[in-house]
Amino acid sequence: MVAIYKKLISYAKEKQHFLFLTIVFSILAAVLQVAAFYYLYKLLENIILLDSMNSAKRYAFMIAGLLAGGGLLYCLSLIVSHLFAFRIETNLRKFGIDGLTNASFKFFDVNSSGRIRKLIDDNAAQTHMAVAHLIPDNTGAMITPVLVLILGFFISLRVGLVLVALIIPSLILLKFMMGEQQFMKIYQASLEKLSSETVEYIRGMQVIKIFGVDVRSFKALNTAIKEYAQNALNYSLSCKKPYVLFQELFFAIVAILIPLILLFVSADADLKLISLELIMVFFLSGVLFTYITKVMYLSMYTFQAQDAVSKLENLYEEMQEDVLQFGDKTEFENHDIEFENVSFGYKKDSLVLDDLSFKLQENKSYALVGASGSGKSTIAKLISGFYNVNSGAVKIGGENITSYSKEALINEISFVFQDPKLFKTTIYENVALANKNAGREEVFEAMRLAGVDGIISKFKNRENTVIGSKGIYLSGGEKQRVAIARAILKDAKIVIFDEASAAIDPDNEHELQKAFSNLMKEKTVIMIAHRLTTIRNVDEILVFEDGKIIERGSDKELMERDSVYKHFQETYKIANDWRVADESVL
Amino acid sequence: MKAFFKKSFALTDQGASDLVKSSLATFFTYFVNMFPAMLLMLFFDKTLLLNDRSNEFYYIASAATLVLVYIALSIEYNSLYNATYKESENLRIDIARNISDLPLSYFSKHDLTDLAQTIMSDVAALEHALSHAIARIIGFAGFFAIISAMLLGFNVKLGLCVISPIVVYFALLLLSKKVQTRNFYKHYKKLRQNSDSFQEAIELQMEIQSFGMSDDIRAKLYKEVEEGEKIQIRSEFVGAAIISLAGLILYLTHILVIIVGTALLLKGEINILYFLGYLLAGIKIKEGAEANSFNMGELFFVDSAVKRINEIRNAKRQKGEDRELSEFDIELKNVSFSYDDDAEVLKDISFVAKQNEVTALVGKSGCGKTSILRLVSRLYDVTGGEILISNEDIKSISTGSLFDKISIVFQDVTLFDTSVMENIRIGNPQASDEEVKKAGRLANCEEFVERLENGYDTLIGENGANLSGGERQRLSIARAFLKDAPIIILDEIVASLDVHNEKKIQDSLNKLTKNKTVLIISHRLKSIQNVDKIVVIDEGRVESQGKHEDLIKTSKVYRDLIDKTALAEKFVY
Repeated sequence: MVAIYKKLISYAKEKQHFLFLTIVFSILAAVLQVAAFYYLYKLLENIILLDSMNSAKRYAFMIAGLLAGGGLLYCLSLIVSHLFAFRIETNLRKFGIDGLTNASFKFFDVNSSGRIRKLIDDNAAQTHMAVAHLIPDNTGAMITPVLVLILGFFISLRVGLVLVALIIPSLILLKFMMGEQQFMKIYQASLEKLSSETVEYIRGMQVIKIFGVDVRSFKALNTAIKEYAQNALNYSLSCKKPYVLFQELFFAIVAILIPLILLFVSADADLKLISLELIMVFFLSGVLFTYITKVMYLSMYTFQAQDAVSKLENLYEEMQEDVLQFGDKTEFENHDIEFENVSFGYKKDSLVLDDLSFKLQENKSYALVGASGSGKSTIAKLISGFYNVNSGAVKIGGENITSYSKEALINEISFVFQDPKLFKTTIYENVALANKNAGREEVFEAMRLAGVDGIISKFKNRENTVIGSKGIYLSGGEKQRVAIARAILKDAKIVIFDEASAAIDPDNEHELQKAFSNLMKEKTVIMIAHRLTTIRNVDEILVFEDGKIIERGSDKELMERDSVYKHFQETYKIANDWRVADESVL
Repeated sequence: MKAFFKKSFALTDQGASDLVKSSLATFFTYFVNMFPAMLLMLFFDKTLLLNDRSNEFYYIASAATLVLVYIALSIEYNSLYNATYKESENLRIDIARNISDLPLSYFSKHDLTDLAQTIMSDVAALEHALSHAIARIIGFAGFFAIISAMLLGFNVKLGLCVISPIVVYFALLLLSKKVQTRNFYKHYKKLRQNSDSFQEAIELQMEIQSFGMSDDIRAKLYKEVEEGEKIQIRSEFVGAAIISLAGLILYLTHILVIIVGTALLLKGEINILYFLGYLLAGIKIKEGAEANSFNMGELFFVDSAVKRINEIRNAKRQKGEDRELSEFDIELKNVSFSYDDDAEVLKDISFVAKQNEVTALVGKSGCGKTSILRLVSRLYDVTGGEILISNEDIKSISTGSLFDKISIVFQDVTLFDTSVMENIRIGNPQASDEEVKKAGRLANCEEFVERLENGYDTLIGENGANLSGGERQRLSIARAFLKDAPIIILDEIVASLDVHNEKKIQDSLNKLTKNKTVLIISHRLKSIQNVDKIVVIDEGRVESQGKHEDLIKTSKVYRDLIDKTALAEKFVY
């Protein structure tokens, strides 16, 4: 419990006094409330024992004032704890943002964007719920029973003992009420199963509908639903006995005490005094019940807060795993690229590249060729410094890329992704972001060279058209043209182009080719080519297979011998010439 | 009452009637819980007013109280949890059924994982409300009405002292709900906005990092989160103020009973027993009211879950009757279409895709080709005109009968977390293992299935995580082979594959499309040169249709596309 407090405070240091205020307010609230019961006792003592009404009114107002004051203080403590909780939520989100903005690409490779967002959003919100109630209730639940006991003993030894006798079994029952561990485990497991079956059911719904076979998937979901309901019921029933007894103990305590009094109290005892004590037991046991029940929720809130924070921290840790290293060099001697015994894998135990070495020269153009999964995209990403290599070194200008500053690397390399993404802002802004210092003219020139002018002429608002607004949609090829415009504007010395695979919309492909030719001028160019006919003039072609370079040379050299490259070109030609409904293939 | 429950809490029939039962049980329990207080009164009658009764009377009364309280609590507990989890089961099954009736377009409009999680948490919220809040509130309301009448009956003044603060309290709570929902909505909107920014920042990670925008984005997100906090403070505090005020009013119950009670005692209007009785009743009822204010809060909270569940139930269904289709020409007659009242994407489209022929749709990106495929497969319904199969408007055919005759091979393939065998068998659940394997062979799956650890019995992971794009695509073609439907729709299926995979799929495709009605979109214009009919779409209209040889001469759009493709093919960097 203390651990989670400490942890939470660490996320809202600037507001930690709020936590203490909350605690102070809720302690005071508890004191005032119990004090009110003290005066209630005095009032009843006056009325029942002393038959005196003189001070009744005074006591009545004391009680009223104390109750109101206690209530007010409790509200205050809630307000302060909410402010504290809001800040924790905000800071946890910021914590998530920090993680996100420098997370490794590996992290994004293995986690879907929706999942990441949900984890941060939901868990930050969850802590707020837990914290806002955790702190005031926690304090109340710990302090009040103690104060009530003190009051009980103050009234009389008998009242105090009865309350102790009530608290001890109720705490034991409380422990049982948390349910049996084994049921809880089964319950948790079936909840998880249900969750994953639901996800699979819904994700598969299109297929399920189209093939008209809801049987298979639905049966699995059906079973999961039934099992979950049954286990949840079993779990709740396992808590039934202790919970019912617990309630009975508090609700019907007088029905236990009255026969005892009649049996064991001698006839000449002061029955009026006993009545007064009995009524106080009735009231105080009610107060105890309220707060001991809160203890039950406490463990739930504590668990939730702990769970939420640790989920976020795990996520953060995952984000920071393998975070990129940068140095402080800002100047590049030249733009030769070299891989020196590089080994690399996305996952721990499987290498995509194993001890790969090669060199690329400044201002030349290279095409990387190979089947999907052969490692060519990985190489492009490693040159851009997106990942840390497992061993070996990636060098630019003779220096390990980790020795350059982040800005220097960003400025030297442009990467046109296969599936570039656009921000939900204007087309102009989407290009301009590539170079903050560029003037309007330069942005327009870049757009012209990349053929983006042809795209904006389709829209009424031209370059001010907002991407993602109603009905505004760019095709894959068009997006790549915008990405090329960005790269032209950025004017980095090294250009990497991941051509969209296989077929792109035909009305865009040629535009795209022209755009990229404009970008290539006087650059070191690495392209991952899919349309193999286009790369015949590049300076060198590197053919990849299983993370190794198996052939290297100009198109002419490679085509002259019986190379894998030649085979690729032939397959490409056949695939490209293939026709639907072509009898000859059958 | 039952109908009201069903509507208010999105319950099933059974759930609603169980809720009636459990509400009765809590009502009964609230009453029985007053018995100890009454017992206490009887005891005081003996000790303070000296009306003597035998000890045996008290023994019996005490024993009866203990037993009754126990029984009441047990029944309440059972009925609450039984009802809850029976309903949890029925509700989930009901929702799952409802989901399977939704039009396919519903699934393309929602993020599916989000949708699934929302449903999970909505039902869970409802479940909790059922077991903790709803029945209790109803039981308490009934109890409160009757006990109020009794308290007023014995002594109007003291009765009012107990009742009026509680009535005011609940009135204030209801009032606060209105204010809270309005403010909550503001906050919710901001949260949504922030979520979207988050999502964008995550999705555009590569762009952000490679243009060095991390710091800007971080600053922007920070600002948004801080604004969110401010809005949240504002939105929750108006509501919190009202609730706190209401909480204070509740204490008036004690205060009024004590002040008025002592005054009446002084005047001799009531005796001590009355005073104590109202004090006890006041404290008990206040405790109940307080506990139920949390329940009220939960009830407000569950509102939005109920709304979402009802939204699924009430979503527009595609109507249509089961038909046995026997002819498979597809005819589009003056079809027009728009998504959600946007501008029309298709205008007056008419053409026929004949049985045993391959019909290809061609046009620039964004011309509306994909929309046509979506209409033919009833992912969406036309907004004007009609689509006929076997001379029947497909709107009048149930999706079940229609899908029975159509195989769609998508660009994206959905796979299930089970074996290769079962994933193919989706195409025809009745197929034998042999038939499944044959379909696998026809789709060129053999080659990679053999490499898998357990062949056809290999589990492929969540959504086929362990397979490559080409392998997934071939599995989906195998499904289509197994299904052997007379109509086949192919949408850009090779767009995301490399040459080698494409080559393998091409061979399978020619086998699959034989003697079927085939409707195809392909970016690779060459691949469709030999088809029986090419329909050229331009800006949502049919520009022309016919064979390749004719279109080159007659269609400007087609010729343009062919020219551009040729340029692209000849292009050398």
